[in-house]
Amino acid sequence: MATVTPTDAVSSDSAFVDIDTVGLTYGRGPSRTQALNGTTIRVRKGGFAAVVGPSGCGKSSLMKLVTGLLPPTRGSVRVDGQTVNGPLKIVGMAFQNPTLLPWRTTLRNVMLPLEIVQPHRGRLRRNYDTYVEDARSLLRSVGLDGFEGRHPWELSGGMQQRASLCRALIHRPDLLMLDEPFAALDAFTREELWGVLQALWMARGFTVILVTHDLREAAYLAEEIHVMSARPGRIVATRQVPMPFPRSLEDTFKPDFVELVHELRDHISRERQA
Amino acid sequence: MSKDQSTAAIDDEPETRAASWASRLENAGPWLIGLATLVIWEAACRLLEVPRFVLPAPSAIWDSFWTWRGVIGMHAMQTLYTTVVGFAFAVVGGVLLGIGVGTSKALYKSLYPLLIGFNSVPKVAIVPILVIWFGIGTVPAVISAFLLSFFPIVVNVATGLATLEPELRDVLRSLGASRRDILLKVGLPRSLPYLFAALKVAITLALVGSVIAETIGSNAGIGYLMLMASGRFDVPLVFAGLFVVAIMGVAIYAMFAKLEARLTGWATRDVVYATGS
Ligand SMILES: Nc1ncnc2c1ncn2[C@@H]1O[C@H](COP(=O)(O)OP(=O)(O)O)[C@@H](O)[C@H]1O
Ligand SMILES: [Mg+2]
Repeated sequence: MATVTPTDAVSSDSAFVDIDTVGLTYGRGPSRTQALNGTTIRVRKGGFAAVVGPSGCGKSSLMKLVTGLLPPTRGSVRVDGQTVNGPLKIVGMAFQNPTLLPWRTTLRNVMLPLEIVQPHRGRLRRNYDTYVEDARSLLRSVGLDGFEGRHPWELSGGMQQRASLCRALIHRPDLLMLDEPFAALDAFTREELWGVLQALWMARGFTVILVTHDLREAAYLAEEIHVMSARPGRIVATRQVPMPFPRSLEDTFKPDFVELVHELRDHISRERQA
Repeated sequence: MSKDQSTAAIDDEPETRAASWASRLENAGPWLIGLATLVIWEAACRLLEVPRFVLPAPSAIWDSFWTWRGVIGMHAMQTLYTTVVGFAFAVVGGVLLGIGVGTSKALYKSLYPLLIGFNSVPKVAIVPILVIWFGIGTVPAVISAFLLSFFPIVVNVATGLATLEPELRDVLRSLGASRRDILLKVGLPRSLPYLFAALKVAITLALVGSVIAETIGSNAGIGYLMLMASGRFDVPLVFAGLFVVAIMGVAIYAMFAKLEARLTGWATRDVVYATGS
C-alpha cells in the first residue's frame, strides 16, 4: 500500500474524469479568494474516487468545476474526453441538504430530472408509465417502496437522502457527484446508506466522485482516496484502497483498514496545521 | 434495510380529547373576545350615559345599520368593487414585477430603491392628485387600492424567488435547465406561500386604499358614506360603516387564508430538511 502519485493511478488517456492542474479564484481585486491551485485528479470510467480534506479547502468548488457550473481560472477539466465548458447533462448530483421539493411527492421529486434532461424530457409524456416504473424500481432499490406518494416532510432525514440519491440517478447519468451527502445523518443511518450507495454503484456501473470529511466513509466506499491540502486546495496524497468489493461494515474494523484510516487522518491533521 | 419503513402503514393516531378541546377553544377565541368586547362596550355606554354622538353603544350602531341597510349595502358593493379591481391589477403587476426583480440582479439593483421610495410616500397624499387627473369617482379609488396593495406582493414574490437554495439551483443547472425551467419548476411553486402571505395582507390594504380614496374624492362607497354621516353628526352610522369595512376585511382575509391552505398546505407543515433521521 504505497502512496502513489495521481498520474500513476489512472493515465490521462484512459481517465473518464480528468481534472488537470486546475486553479479557481473567486472574486477580483483585494477581496479575491484562491480556492484551488494546481489540483489534479483522474478517475477511471466506472471508478469510485473520494476527496477528503479540511473544511473550506475547496472541495465543493471542485465539484462545481467538474459539473461545469463554474469555469476553472486555470487548467482544464475533461469528462469523457470532452473539455467541460458548461453544465454537463450526464451528471447526477446530491448534497448534504437533500433539497427535495416539498410540494412534490417522493415519486415526482425523483422524476424531476426527467422533466429537464433530454432525451427524457421529450419522451416523458409518451412513455410516462415506463418512466414511473423506472422511478419505482429505483426507489425500491434504496428501500423506499411504499413511500412513493409521501411528501418529503413525511420522510426522515435518511429517507430524504435516499430519495435525493434516486433523483440524482433517475436519468442514468454516467457520473455521480456527491458533496458530503451523508454528513447530516446519524451514524447508523449513514452506515446504512453507505451500503445502499455501494450496491447502486456496483449494479449500475456509473463513475462516482464523493466529497466527504468522514475518513471511514471514504475508505469504505472508494477505490481511491485523494487528500486535499488546506486552501488553496491541491492534492497532497492519493491512496488506493485495495480491499475487494463488496465491502461490509465488518471490513472497516480490520487492521489494514484501520491503519489506512489512521494514515489519512495523519495527512489531514498535518494539513490543518500547515 | 431500514427499520423506519415499518411506520409506513401506521395511520395517524386520533386526536386526543384534550387536544380537540383546546383547538375548539382556539377557534372560538375571536368570537368570544369580540362578543365580550361588545358586551362591555354596551354596558359602559349605558352605565356612564355616554352621548351617542361621542361613542354610540353597539345597539345604537346596529339600529343605524338596520335602518340604512339598503344604502349601506349599495355603498359596500361599490367599495368591494373598487377594492377587487385595484387588487386584481396589483396581483398581475406585482407578480410580474416580482418575477423580474426576483430573477434579475440588474432589475433588483435598479428598481428596489425606487420601490422603497415609492412605498414610503403616504398614499393619502396621492389621492388628491388622482382626483385632479381622473375626477371624482371610481378611478381614484381603484388606483389607490392598487397602490397600497402592490408593494407587498412585489416584495414577497421577489423574496420567494431570490431565496431559492443554491444547491437546488445547482442540481437543476447541472441537468441543463434553462432559467425558464428553473422558474417554472421550482421558483414559482416555491414562492407561492410567499405570494399568498402577501395576498392576505394586500387585500386588506387594498380595502384601506379604497376607503381612503372614497373619503377624499368620491361620491359612492363606504368611505363616502362615512364622510357624509359624520357631516350630519350621525355617529352611529359612521360606526356602522367602520364595522362593515372591518367585516369585509375579515371576510376577504379568511377567503384567501382558505385558498392558501388548499394550495400551499405543504408550506405550513413542519418541513424538516436534513436533520438526521
Ligand atoms: N461563491 C463564492 N464566492 C467567494 N468565495 C467562495 C465562494 N464559494 C466558496 N468560496 C470560498 O472558497 C473556499 C472553498 O470553499 P468550498 O469549495 O465551499 O470548500 P469546502 O467545500 O471544501 O468546505 C472557501 O474559503 C470559501 O469561502
Ligand atoms: Mg463544501
